[in-house]
Amino acid sequence: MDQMQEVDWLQMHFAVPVEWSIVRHGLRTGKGRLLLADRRDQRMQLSWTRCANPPDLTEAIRQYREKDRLEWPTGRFVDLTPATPWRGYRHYRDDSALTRAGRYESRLRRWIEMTLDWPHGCDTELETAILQSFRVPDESRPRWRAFGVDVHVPNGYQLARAEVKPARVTLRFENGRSELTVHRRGMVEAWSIAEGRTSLARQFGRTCPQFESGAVAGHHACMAHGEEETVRIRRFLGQARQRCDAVWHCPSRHAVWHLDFRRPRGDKTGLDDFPITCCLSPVERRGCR
Amino acid sequence: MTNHKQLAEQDLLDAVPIRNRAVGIRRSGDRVTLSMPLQQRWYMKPPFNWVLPFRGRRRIELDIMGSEIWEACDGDRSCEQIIDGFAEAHHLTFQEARAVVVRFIQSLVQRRLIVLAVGQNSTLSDISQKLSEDDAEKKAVSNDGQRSAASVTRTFNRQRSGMKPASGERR
Repeated sequence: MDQMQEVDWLQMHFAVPVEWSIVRHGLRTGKGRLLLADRRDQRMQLSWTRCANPPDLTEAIRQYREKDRLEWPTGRFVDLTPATPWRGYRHYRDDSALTRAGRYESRLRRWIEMTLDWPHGCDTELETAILQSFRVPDESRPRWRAFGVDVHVPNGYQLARAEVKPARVTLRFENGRSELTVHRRGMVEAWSIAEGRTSLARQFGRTCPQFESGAVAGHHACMAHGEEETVRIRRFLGQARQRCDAVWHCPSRHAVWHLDFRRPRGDKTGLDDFPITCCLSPVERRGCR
Repeated sequence: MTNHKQLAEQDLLDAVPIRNRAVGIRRSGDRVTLSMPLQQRWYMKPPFNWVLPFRGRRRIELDIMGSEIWEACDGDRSCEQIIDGFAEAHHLTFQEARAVVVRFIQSLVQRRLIVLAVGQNSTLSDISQKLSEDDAEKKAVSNDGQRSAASVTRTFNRQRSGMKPASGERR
């Protein structure tokens, strides 16, 4: 079986082969989907819908089965083993196959559907591994692990924005007026990135931050504390947020990381409350420390 | 050979970028400067260009990343192989590297600096071999005392354009 990578998204955890990448993502807890593809084909779709009460699973599966039967009348259906919490079937088409499974997660109150595409025939071992890897972790700090970022955020923080570009990922978590933005910039040699302190000074603008050295994710980091740059009236009214930034370079991934945390006065949360891992595999971690 | 717009995403990975032979290449360090001959318009020819010196070539300077991809377009590697190499060199995932490389290759195709060869036996060496085989075949026909290769080509071009042969020319 292929080497697997783990994904944590909206309190849903699952593992897929490392070759598969997320190509579409939804941020809303109410309804959304994740699309994963290998280098040539779409391989998986994980979709979720908020449901106050569990839906009729049998009826839902029957409707999907009918739809697939109409789409591919010569196909053959095989029910999934009832050992997993998933209910569904495998639909064998000529050379390809499709696995459709659904389950209700009472803790999240979500109806979750997983569709796996097998363009070159079904790999039942991999199918079982993916289905069994799915769980809803019970963590005090929800974990987000996707696009090469692995970060825990305190309860109440929601992912408000995810901007994914080649070698440039930005995830922003918000909780009221507090916000944490995680930037990951790969291909360091392609960017004209200034030295950590200079880059932070530029970020803070006219406000004068205090610089210090620290350690984030096991790396030496340049940190800065200060106040965010805002209009003068806000500063007079005491509405300017406190800002705490950290910048470090991860040599194993050729990436520069930047955490930008802003909080209103009185909020005791700090950067330590957002444990982050930048070198995802143990081999990479050894290379960095 | 085909236009990049007609290519499906699947075919694009298998396509082999082949450089335009008319492109001049100048290397300085890590960077590459390409020069492409411009189409000569009537006002660019004598006697007008005696007074107004028009540039005969258009120059394109590539940055380090662009130069790297250009060097990888050697006519033997497919887009997928180029993307793999780029991803490995820059610690990117395949999809990240693909977004960068494919966009750049498309811009090269639009500027007619490369073409994409699609299908089996589409590498430059395969195409060169095919062309040399064709040439050898034409020469063999010519040596038999029948039509010359040039004549064959002219006839073929006329057939494609629907023209009639010039009077006095043997068919």
